[in-house]
Amino acid sequence: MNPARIVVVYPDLLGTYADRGNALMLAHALRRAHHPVEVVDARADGPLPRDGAIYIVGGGEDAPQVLAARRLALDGALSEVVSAGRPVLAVCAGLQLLGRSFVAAGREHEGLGLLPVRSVGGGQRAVGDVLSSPTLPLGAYLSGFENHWGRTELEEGAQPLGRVLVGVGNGGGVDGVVCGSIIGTYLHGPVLARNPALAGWLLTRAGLPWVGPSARWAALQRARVGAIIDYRSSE
Amino acid sequence: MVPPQQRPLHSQGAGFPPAGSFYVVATTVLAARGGEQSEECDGSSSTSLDLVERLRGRLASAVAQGVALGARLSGRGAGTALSGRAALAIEPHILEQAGRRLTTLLVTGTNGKSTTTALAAALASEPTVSNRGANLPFGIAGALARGDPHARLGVFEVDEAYVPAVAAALKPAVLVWLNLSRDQLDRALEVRRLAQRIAESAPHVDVVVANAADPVVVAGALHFRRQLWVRPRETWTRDASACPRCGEAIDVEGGSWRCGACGLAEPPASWWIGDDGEAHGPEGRVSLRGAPPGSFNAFNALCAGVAVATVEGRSVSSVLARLEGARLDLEGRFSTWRLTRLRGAPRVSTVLAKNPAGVDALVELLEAWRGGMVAVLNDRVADGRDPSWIWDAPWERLQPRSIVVGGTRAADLALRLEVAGHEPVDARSIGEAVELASAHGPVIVVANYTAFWDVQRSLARLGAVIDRTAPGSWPTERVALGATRR
Repeated sequence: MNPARIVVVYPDLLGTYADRGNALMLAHALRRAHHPVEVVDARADGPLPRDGAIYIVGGGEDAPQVLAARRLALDGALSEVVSAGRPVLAVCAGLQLLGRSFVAAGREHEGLGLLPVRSVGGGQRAVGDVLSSPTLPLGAYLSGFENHWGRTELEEGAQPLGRVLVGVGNGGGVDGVVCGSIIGTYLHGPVLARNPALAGWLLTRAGLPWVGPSARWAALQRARVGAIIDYRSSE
Repeated sequence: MVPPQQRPLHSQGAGFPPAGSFYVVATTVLAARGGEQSEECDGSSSTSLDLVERLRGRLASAVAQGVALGARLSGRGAGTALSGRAALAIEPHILEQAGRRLTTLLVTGTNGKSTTTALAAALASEPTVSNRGANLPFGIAGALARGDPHARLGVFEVDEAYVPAVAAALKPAVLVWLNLSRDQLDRALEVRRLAQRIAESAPHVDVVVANAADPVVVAGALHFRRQLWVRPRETWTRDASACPRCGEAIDVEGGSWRCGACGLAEPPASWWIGDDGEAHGPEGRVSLRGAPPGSFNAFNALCAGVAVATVEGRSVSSVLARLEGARLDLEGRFSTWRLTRLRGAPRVSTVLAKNPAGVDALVELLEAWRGGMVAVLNDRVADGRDPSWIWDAPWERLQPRSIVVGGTRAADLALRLEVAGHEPVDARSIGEAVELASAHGPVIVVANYTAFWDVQRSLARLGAVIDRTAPGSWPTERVALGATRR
């Protein structure tokens, strides 16, 4: 059996926010299912591998985000694997640059156009815990930590990942987007460490086994959701 | 993002009291000051102004010392930041005045500020005033107000974001810029913007002693009038793989780095840490015996030595000769304790790590550790509310082992360690964690910022006394410390 390759897209540009942890969680899940797995750190100075099972696009600062969007557009591999239906998890800057357009370093930039969203500058930086109610069958809550200026508008008919209960997300009461095999979200944490069901969704979508979370993984999911709810009720 | 002025002071958990009596004093004096300023504009006699200034300085110092004493008596820690707040309220120009009186040496960077400041203060031959941990302007003001009034040299660690403000006031002879990497993303500036901010201090600084191996530091340090490049044996560059100047990829070849696009490249170092762990430079090979453990601390000691040598006009080797046997005030970092209230009085060593680069630097020490291990992670405001950095820390570089976890985010840490192949062990308290780990021999505790103080308090309850007999791999006999903290 060939190892499933989890591709971390441009960790040298989009690696500022521990979103690589999402790849570690997918690898952990596959090892628990006794499936061979390999995490591939695909740097921006080389071609993006086209044989990945799942792609992880993380958060980044403005200048690297612009550079990453330019490189990915030139490279073309990400559009190909999305057409082939392979799952992509795009977090924060990743969510923005997979959309139609985004604003960074004071001006608008063209995105990859893989997601039906446009991102604009927000008035105030959104920083803090987020709790949302997912639109996919992923349990009652998704939780994470957001830290971004941008606000993301969904196009008519686009499906958000969750309805925001605590925090900001895209703005407008929702977080992220689901489009075919792509999940976009503002949730760091890393989001898969805090939401094992989302890891299960990506693995299943990739045709890989999912045997459920370890006890500690499930415990972290409960602990974070509980902490946010406790904090809110104490306010 | 929380604006910098709202960032909590590093007051070791001491909350600010509600507006107390010293605020009343402060308001009265400030009201008086308003009147004088108009007098100043009228160009009135400077002698009476000097007198007022001196008196105000003394009042600030007296109030600061009173507040600090009160803070200590009420168990709120050293009270440095609190007393600095009081002193600044009375004498807002306390830093500028100190800048005229003292030669100053500032230390900044993500990791190693406190240790390097302690090293520089210990290596200086002149009477010195210095801060530790409390590295915002309040903390420096507190150290000044409470410090030796006859000091000739000020050695201060400065929070990265406050370097321009503090440098503008103190006009330092030397700024030591150790490194710059991600830390507390939920509230700190992005790394590159933070570097630009530090570089804004360039007009006020004579010489920058800077890390040649860190591209982010180099790009910023080039804005200063004069650079003294120092190179560690290794440095964390994961946050600098894109060129800080142009954003293109940084190439590392033959042990040095270069941006192929804009030409930003590693400058040749005046001093460096060799493979032998000692300092090398224009004066030949210089021993770093007496530095705290770890090759990153050899670099911190070298930076301190180069900075003090520059300030005092001495040779680096003569400055570093004072290292062995120097009394370092490290506030528990790299310290070893005996827990006298536990059976067998187990030995515990404490280290601080609060970001990926910090853990990376500790790997060699942790890997050599033969005994129990405890890791404690908090997410209080002073730590950053989001501890997701643990996912970028290289726990995989440690051989799989059992690690007892604790802190407000123990569940996150436990999962991180499980994913890295370790066996996390739960404990109900830090005390219990240390006891569990001590079954495997001497214990090393790794903790982030507020967790580190929690650990110190827990150890104190277990009867911790400083241990100077630790053998071999952990050279604590080099680290002479004062009494047990609280």
